[in-house]
Formats: sequence, C-alpha cells, structure tokens
Amino acid sequence: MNNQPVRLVFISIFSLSLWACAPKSLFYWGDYETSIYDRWIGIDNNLGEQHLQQTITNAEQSGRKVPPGLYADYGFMLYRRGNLDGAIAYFDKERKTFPESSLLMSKLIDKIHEKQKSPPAQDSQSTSEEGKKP
Amino acid sequence: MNKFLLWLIFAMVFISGCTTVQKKDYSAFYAHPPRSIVVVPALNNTTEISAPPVFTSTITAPLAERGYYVFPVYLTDILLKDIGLSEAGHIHQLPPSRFLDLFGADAVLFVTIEDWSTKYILISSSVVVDMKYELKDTRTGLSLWQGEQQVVHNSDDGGGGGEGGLIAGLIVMAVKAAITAITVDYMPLARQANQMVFLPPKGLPAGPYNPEYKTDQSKF
Repeated sequence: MNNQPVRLVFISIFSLSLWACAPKSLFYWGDYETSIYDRWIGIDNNLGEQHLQQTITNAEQSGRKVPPGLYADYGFMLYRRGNLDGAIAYFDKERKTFPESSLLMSKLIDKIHEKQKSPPAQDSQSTSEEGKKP
Repeated sequence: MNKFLLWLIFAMVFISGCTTVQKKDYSAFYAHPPRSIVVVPALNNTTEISAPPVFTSTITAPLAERGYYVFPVYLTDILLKDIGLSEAGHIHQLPPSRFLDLFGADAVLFVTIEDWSTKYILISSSVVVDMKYELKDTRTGLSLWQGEQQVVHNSDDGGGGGEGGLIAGLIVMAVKAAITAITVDYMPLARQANQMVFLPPKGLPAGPYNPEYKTDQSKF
C-alpha cells in the first residue's frame, strides 16, 4: 500500500525516460513531402501550395522547428502570385532561420528589388501577360 | 605444428576479412565538414520518367534530419532551369564550385537512379529502387562521401489463407500491379532508401543541426 506512490513515481520516471529515448525528429515535416511532389508534377499546384502553407502553420503553432527550405519555398510561391513584399519577407525569414541560405536568399531578394525598381510599363506588361494565361 | 599455425593464421585472416565491414574513409569529409547541401536534379539511368520527382520529394527530410541545411529541392530545380541548366546529365558534369557561386552551398549531392522497376514473377511482383549518391565539396571539388542504397519490396508477403485466399490474393496482386504501374508504390521505397543511406555506420556524420554533431565519430 505504501508502495503505491513510489511505484507511480517509478513508472512515471520510466515512461519519461522512454519518451526521451524515442527518436524525435529535429523538424516538423507535416505534408512537405506531398507538397513538393504535387508542385513538381504540377498536377495539383494549388494543393501542393496548401500543404506547404499548412505545414508551416502547424509547425509554428506547435512550437516545432520549421525545416530548412520551407520559408524559401513559401516565399517563391508568393513571388509567383505577384506578392513581391511577401516574397522578400519570407526569403528574409529563411536566411534569418538558416544563415546557410544567406547568399541565395540575398540574391533572390536583390532580384525582386530590381524588379520593383524597373519601369512600371514593364511591370504592367508582365502582369497582363500573367492575366492572359488560361 | 608449423603448418597448423600457418593454417590458423590464414583462417584468422580470412575470417577477419569476412567480418570487418570495409570501413569508409571519412578523412576528406572531416577535413571539409559541410553545413549546407544542395541536392541537384537526379540523373535517371532508368526508363521510368516519374522516378526523379518521387526520389527528390523524399530526399529533403532524411538529409535535414542528419543535421544539414538542405536547399529547397523544388526551388533549386527551378533556379537551375532559369539559367538554362535543365539536363541532369549536364548538371552532373559541372565543376562543384559552380554550386558555391550559385547557391552558397558547402557541398553538392549528386544522385544517380540506377534501378526503378517492378518485376513480375507469376502472381507476385517485386519492386526495386536503387540509387547511387556522391557528395562533393564545392570549394575543393573533393568527393566527401559516397553511398549506394537498394530497397526491394516483394508483394508476396501477406495475403489471406483458407479457401478463396488464392483468388482474393490474385485480385489483390492484380490491383497492386495496376497501382504500381501508375507510379504510386515507389514513394515508400524511395523514402526508405533515402532514410537508410545517410545513417551510421556508412552514412553521413551528424551535421550542425543534429545534437550528435561532432560527437558521433565512433559510429562510423
């Protein structure tokens, strides 16, 4: 009878140690794999983008680490949608989270800045081209 | 007696030769330990055109979980195409230093898909994926690590017993075979291959984002 709490402590220590031993992944991956596949194959680009967005949201909300490359991927998705400021913000987020990506992210950000500075005539042309796409 | 001793020595050498897994040389790797890896489009030596995207979708997680910064594979592909590099065969011929200039990557991973097929033997089928990997330092061009991984999955395991089991089994096989024909079944095999190849004792030592970074030398 007296053993009951002691046993409980032991059990909880044991289960805690088991939990600590279980291989935990460094990052939260969610549906990233599916997201790459869907976007790559191009069968369902929207679904791929949704999976990407969802994976980032889930990781951030659960306090897990967002894997390398996801912010960059998301930034590129925003760029394709014409959200240049959003793209810059996410490329910046990638390089702040993973300094290894600094050179590439800075290059991409510089390119967007160039695009933003370029004469508006060119900009409207490119957007109208975008609109013509079926 | 002398002869016996000689035989004994011979036998011991022979046995040790069998049991010792030939140790990989990690000296180049430890001399130039990478933090970041760019995975370039895989060279496909098979006739299965859907192999590279399936392979590439499953490479990021295993590599990043070893502790490395992995450049986003899809974006990498787009950026390379953007500068006219769309042929994997051509990309694999480039000097590794190009990937330092383009991406700022410490190392570049070249993968060749050697087998990606389903073989049918009577009512069972076996699915095979086989890949060769080579990691090169972008500053020196040195080969830091090489690996090969094959995964085979036989469909004949399982299946209901008793009467009707065979027929049911046949139907299951037919359905499975039909599914494999549309590429779906390769994903878990590719994933498994990519997970296995980077693990000790022959894989990649832990990178900077892995808690075992710089402490796992004994595992290799």
